[in-house]
Amino acid sequence: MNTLDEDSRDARFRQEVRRFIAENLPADMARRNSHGYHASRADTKAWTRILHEKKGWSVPGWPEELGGPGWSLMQQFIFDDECTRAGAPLLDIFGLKLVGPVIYTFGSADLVERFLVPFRRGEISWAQGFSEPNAGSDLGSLSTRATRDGDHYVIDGRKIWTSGAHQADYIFCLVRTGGPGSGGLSMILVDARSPGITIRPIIDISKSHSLNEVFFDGVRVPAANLIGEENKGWKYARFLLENERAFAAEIPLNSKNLRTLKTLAAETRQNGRSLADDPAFAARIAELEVELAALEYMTLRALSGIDEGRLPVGSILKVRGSELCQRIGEMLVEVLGDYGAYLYSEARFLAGEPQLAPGPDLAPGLWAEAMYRRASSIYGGANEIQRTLIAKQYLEL
Amino acid sequence: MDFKLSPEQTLLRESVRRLMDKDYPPATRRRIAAEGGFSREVWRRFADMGWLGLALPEEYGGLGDIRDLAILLEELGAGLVLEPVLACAVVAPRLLLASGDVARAQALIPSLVAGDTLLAMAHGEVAARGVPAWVATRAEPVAGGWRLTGNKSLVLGGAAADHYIVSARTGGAVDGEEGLTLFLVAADAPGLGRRVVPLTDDGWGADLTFDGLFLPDSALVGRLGEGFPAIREALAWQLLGFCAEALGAMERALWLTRDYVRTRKQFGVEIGSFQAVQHRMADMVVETELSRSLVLRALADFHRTPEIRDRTLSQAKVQVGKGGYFVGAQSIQLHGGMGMADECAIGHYFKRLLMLRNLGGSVALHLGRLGARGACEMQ
Repeated sequence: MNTLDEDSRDARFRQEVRRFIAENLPADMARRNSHGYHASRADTKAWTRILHEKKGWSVPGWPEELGGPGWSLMQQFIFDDECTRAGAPLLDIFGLKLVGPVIYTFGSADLVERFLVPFRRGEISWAQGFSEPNAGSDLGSLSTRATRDGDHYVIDGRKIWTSGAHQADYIFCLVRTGGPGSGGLSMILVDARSPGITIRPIIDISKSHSLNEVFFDGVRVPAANLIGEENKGWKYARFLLENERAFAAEIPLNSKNLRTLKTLAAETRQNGRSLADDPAFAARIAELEVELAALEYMTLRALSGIDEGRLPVGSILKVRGSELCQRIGEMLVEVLGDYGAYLYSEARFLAGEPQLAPGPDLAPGLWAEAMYRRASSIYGGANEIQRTLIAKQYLEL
Repeated sequence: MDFKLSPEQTLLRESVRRLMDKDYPPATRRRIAAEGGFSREVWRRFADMGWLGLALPEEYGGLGDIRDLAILLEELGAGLVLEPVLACAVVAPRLLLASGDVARAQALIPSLVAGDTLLAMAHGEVAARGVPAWVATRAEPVAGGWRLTGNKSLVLGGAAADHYIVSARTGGAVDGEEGLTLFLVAADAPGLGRRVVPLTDDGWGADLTFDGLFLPDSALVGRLGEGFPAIREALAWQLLGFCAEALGAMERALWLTRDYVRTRKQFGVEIGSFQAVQHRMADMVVETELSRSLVLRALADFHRTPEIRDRTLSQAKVQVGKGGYFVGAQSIQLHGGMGMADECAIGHYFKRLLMLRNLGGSVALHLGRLGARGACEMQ
């Protein structure tokens, strides 16, 4: 975002954030998280604790009475950008940007006390239990059921594609408490270590383990863990997704990957010169930059909070941001050349052990990132769904 | 950047739209196109509205800022206006102002703003292909003045203009930024080879030939050999204008097509109910909004350093060039056979968007420029 005309207050803020990160982000943590591999929840929690204890910066975007730093949206954007740039682990988005706002908007004071206060201190982490084997894009048809039994709900069913469930402390689940359709759903907070929960890892095409299948077999959850009212879950889920819309283009991630691509191109020699000096290649990079510049400014439009009528900014950002992410990923693998065909091990990388294959320091994780981002046009509402939303809501087709 | 339109800006937008609806329906446009692409009456209306001075500083009768200008050009683009507002009310006076020739600016600009006189920039040449300083036209010093030899192509506004500001080489290499000089040439100057040419978007331009045309010393505009910075300034305004016009045209094409797919029925239903059509239209929305974002960004960056301005303008031109053409072409596709008919509006949008895609430098040219300017440099 440094290409934008930030005012001097924003520029000072950026400097402050940069300085703080330089002084407080542990080097080994930065190394683990500056490649394409997923952040571990342990790193995320540890970084959250550092932010909380030293600066009170652990929950950007939250109201100040709940510990939010009181930043403008632009400042939040700058913070994300600087963190990504420096290789800080991604904060726990599920808690910070998804379930957190739902809890403080619709949940009880008790839920705020039990879940948000410890989250802010970096003590708990979250996973999202929405998708099911037979309910992906058609989320309203999900069938995992929660049945009331005295002070508890008893949950039976199955969730899938649950990112980080194996490391999470709690899963916020969309479950069926009423009749068919989206009007029979509720949102409830489930202890991931409850008896009756079985977590099966799903190894993805990047050979990494972040996804899981979660089985619920008579899992008892306190009724007090239900958010808001029974059968209003769809409303909360929509609020949750809407909240994220301005961030849907994942600008910090795309900026970081594009920077990596440029660094790599500058270091790569082809035909006796740097790949970055090849006009055809430079033009392709320029094309990606045009796209990023447009999405960046569109994000600013969304953040500025002006009324754009029914314009579905989130869907637009999601469609093109995810496609950009995939194109940058493809280019990363291409620029690696032969190294792009070498399989680097995530486990060895995280353990700091040598790889079987040689290659530049940047190489491990890039292919894995490119593979994982095939999901970016699927998760958070598949791009086909987003296009349908644009056509139906905005064009009224 | 304040993204919100002020009440005055909203008013401006509405007043342009109103005038378009009332005074510039397709039949009027057709008649004007057949009569040379320029209506003196329409031009005077524009002058009365204050639009011909929107790009100018206050001391020259200007009433707005650059955002106002973009709004005007967007709406004129949406209305496919043939009159050369960008060429004659923005680019040419901006060139004159940037030349530093204050006396001539003071003498000429009031009549431009009033709509009495039209001035056009004659800079481009066939061989230049978008390279900003490429000028092969030469001015040789002779007793009492200059002799001009060469050719200027695709002079926008050139059919209606009373005067041209012509760039000519008085030194330097053919693509050099040094040694460019500006001259004022009357459209009816004896010996000027002036061909008025029809354009593919139904507008009209001019193609000028100078075969040893004599110009007195008084024809010199600005300083000898130092014309390039002014040309660069004028080209920046022009590029911004092309982008704003294209944005207006693509947005209108999008909604015309939306309306069409909601009424056209096949297989017993509106074709807009088909998902293949819906998704294509969604992509048209995406292209339009990405274009809008970069036009807004170009506006925000316009008064920053020349490097930043040029970079953002090139980025905007790439997006608007690609996106505008996509929206235009898909609009034809979704109109089916009707999209091919001259009587249907949509084809005119497509033709205009195709022209705008290449005016001021193609997508490839601007990508090459961005790449050469160090897209690969570290930020």
